[in-house]
Amino acid sequence: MFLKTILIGLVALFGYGEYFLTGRGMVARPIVMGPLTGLVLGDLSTGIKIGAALELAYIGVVEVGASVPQDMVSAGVLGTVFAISTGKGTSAALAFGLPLSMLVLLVQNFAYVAVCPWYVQKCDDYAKAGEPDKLSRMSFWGGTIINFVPSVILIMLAFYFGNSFSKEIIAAIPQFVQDGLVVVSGILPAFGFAMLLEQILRKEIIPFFVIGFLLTTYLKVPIIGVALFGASVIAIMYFYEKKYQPNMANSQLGDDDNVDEF
Amino acid sequence: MSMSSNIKMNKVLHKTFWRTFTMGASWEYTRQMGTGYCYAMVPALKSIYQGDKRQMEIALERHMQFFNITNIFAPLVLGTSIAMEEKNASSADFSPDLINNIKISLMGPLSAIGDSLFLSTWRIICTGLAISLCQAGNILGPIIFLLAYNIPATLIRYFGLKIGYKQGSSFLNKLSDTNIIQNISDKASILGMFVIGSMIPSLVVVNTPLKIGIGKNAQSLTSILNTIMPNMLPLLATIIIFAMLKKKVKVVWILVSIVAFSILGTWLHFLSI
Repeated sequence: MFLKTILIGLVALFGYGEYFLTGRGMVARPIVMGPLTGLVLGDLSTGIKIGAALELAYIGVVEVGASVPQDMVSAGVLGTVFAISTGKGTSAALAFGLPLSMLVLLVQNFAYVAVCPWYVQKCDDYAKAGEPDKLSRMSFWGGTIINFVPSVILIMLAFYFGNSFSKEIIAAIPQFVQDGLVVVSGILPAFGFAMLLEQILRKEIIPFFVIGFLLTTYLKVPIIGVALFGASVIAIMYFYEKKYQPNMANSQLGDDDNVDEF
Repeated sequence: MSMSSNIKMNKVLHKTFWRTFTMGASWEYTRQMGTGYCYAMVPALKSIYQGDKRQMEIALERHMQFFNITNIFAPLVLGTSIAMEEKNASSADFSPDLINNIKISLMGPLSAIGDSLFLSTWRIICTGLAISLCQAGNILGPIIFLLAYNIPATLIRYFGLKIGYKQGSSFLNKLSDTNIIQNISDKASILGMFVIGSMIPSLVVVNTPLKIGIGKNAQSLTSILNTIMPNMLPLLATIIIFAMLKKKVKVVWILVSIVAFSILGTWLHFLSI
């Protein structure tokens, strides 16, 4: 149990490596955290399946600009942990993952607001003193330790203490609530897609959405096929724009010709 | 530029490239990516202002300012900053204010493409590519997801840094002036619309056990709806939630109402797994 707690901590740390190690390499997503957690618990294939279900449930959760809408690492790791330990799958993953990840997010935001200014101040001081190496170390280690280590510890604690109670807790939840949570996991992707649509939707591109929907609904084209279809349509648009708007294309070419000033 | 300084700069660019993976460590609300940007500039600044402590201080402070951009485009901007810092060190009449002005002017438009093209559209295409393998419990699923997302992302990082450095500010200045960025962003959102349209019927699940009619003639509501148009309920769910978002209902309240509606629906038997 102790060893497993350490390993869960390492998985979570790797997940937060999203920010400090992989340059937003999407390792924090449940689709990656689920399998790794499953591996630690000795049930890889369930981990992969739960990871997939949670990935869809959280598909609209994306950090753009300055927003941190949800802590993906704890939602994925703890969701998978309790899905496997209770044997209840997705409903347990959401029942435990949602509230616990909100708690972790709270702690993270506290660190961001209350503790981070301290190491930023330190970095400012090192900049003023002209100390690039000290600034580098403070930026990397200060950021990594203050931003992410508290969350990793919280996840390890939730794993260590939660494991023994989780079965009793889930047994106390009525069956229709558990089934309801499975229904939730089916509807949540709609929430995700609605959020993505809100980001990119403009009136004139709605037809493309309709075409994508119809291709899959009536012709059963898989997602990747629709993506390739979409790419072809964009290529057509590009070539026709080039052909029928010679002025625009020329002025862009002109720009390209004299870029080499350095 | 001499041969040896070229080789030296290549080494610096490599170091910078690796730092773009770790620069996100110090993200927080006040400077956002600013501290990390300064961290990523350190190898270049050390090479450019070697032995000139005063210039080093000024340059470090310059790059500690507020900055934020989609991570994969940070190397492109870093490349221009490095080229401009070199120019600043070599020519006396160069105005160093230009360095931060360029950074700021690139921040908005590049983030706009980065967020819609990469963090949203490309990520969900990769998810779509991998999800059915994952649902079958196949380990190739997550591996394909990571590779599909990260190979192009890493190439954009690498060549972004090189192009940014080689072309310097003039190229990017023009990039932000013309409508190229807007054009790429528009095309990306079209691709996004196709993919989201396709993902709704494949991945959203809304079922109802309701039946219409009585006894032997009872027909399930789902099959009746399917004869009108398949996947009507998933589409309807998405449209309703979209309308709530448009009405500025808070995200948390939408989440709570989805959970409440689903549990209530299961309890009253008008929704099922």
